[in-house]
Amino acid sequence: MDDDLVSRARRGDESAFAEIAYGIGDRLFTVAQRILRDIDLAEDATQQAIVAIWRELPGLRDPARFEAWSYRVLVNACYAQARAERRWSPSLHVLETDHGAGDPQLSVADRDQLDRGFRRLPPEQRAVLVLQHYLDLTLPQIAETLGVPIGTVRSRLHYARRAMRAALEADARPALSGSRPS
Amino acid sequence: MTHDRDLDRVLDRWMDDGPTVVADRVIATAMTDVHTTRQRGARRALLKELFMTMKPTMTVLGIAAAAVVALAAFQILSGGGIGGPRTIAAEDLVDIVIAPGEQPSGMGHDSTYDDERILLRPIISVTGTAAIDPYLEQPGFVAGRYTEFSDDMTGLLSWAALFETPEDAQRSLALYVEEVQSDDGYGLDNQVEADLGDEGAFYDSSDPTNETLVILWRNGNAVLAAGTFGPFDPDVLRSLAQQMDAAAD
Repeated sequence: MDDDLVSRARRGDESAFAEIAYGIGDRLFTVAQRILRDIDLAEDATQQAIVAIWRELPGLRDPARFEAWSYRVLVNACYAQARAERRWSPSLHVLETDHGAGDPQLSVADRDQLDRGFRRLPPEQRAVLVLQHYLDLTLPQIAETLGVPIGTVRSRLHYARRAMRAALEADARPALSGSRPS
Repeated sequence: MTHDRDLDRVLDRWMDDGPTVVADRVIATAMTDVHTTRQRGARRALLKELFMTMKPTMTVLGIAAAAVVALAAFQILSGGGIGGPRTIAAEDLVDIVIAPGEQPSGMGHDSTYDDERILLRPIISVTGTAAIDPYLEQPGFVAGRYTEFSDDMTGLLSWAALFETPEDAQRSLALYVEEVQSDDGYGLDNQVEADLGDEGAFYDSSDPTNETLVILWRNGNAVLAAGTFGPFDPDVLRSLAQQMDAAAD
């Protein structure tokens, strides 16, 4: 992200911020959708994150850290969406999965199991998995992005991976069926 | 190790599935909201820039002027100037809202908020950002506190928002009553008057799958709420609300 654009937006330049918002919108939404596994919730989280980024931008001291900081704002918006949905909604959303698309090397059954396992994870564990496997961030980068100690990231990853492995191995299926090299 | 690498590969592939482009309307709506949203700390940042470009004597004068303005604002806010007396003060909130350690046994403390975000905490119907302004821009808002507790099956919230005048609090109460009753909000269609504060009610739902209970009331210049989801004993909730109300009196 262009530091000059960020600096102008920090000083209240809306046109500079519009350029930023249209530039980062896709990636914010993509990450939110991976965390929330729901397009409507991901759109809401993206909108909230963009407004929050604008509101809090004067507090960002170093424009060079904009990208990591924007992910942190987005992840917080995802937490809020996930919690509101889980805590106070009398009936949970039934989330759709498009089984017609996606990687042909992953079986429909594997995708189903992954989906179910992932939705059972708390949002904090979902976020670390997405940052690691979708954004390819390292543990220190994840810790910096989320503003938590590396030990916390490690522990969240440990529990998340254990749960995902258990989900894949559920129903006495051979683990990772159809995806292991023979 | 091989097992771990297999899991990594599966997760990498699975995460690659899914949409990668956001609808234009999402950004457009966000930008509409941006247009009406003030940047936090913008004035402080501008002042900082201003001070950095001012000569030292001007800086001293600027600080002195700011101190005079701050002193005047303090006198007004603390009741020494214009405005009516407040029956409940901001420092009372910590005793009114259920504190960590005071929750029913078996429940853990999840979070406490005591900034302006508390105005949004009980709101669940607002999913777009455009609609949050009526909640965040409530006239006369002074301070608030929100605590949240849960166990495996149930959750409990305790909330209080303090306003300059009872009239401000009355307007705020109406906003939250609407949220509690609306289908987009909590959908609680039953209402029984609660003997708490100046006005208020106990809300629940005629839909047996909706296990949310909320008690919402006004005591002087404060709006208070206690709410639960899941299979929570309504009498325990009533007793917690009475405890909050007694602390507010």
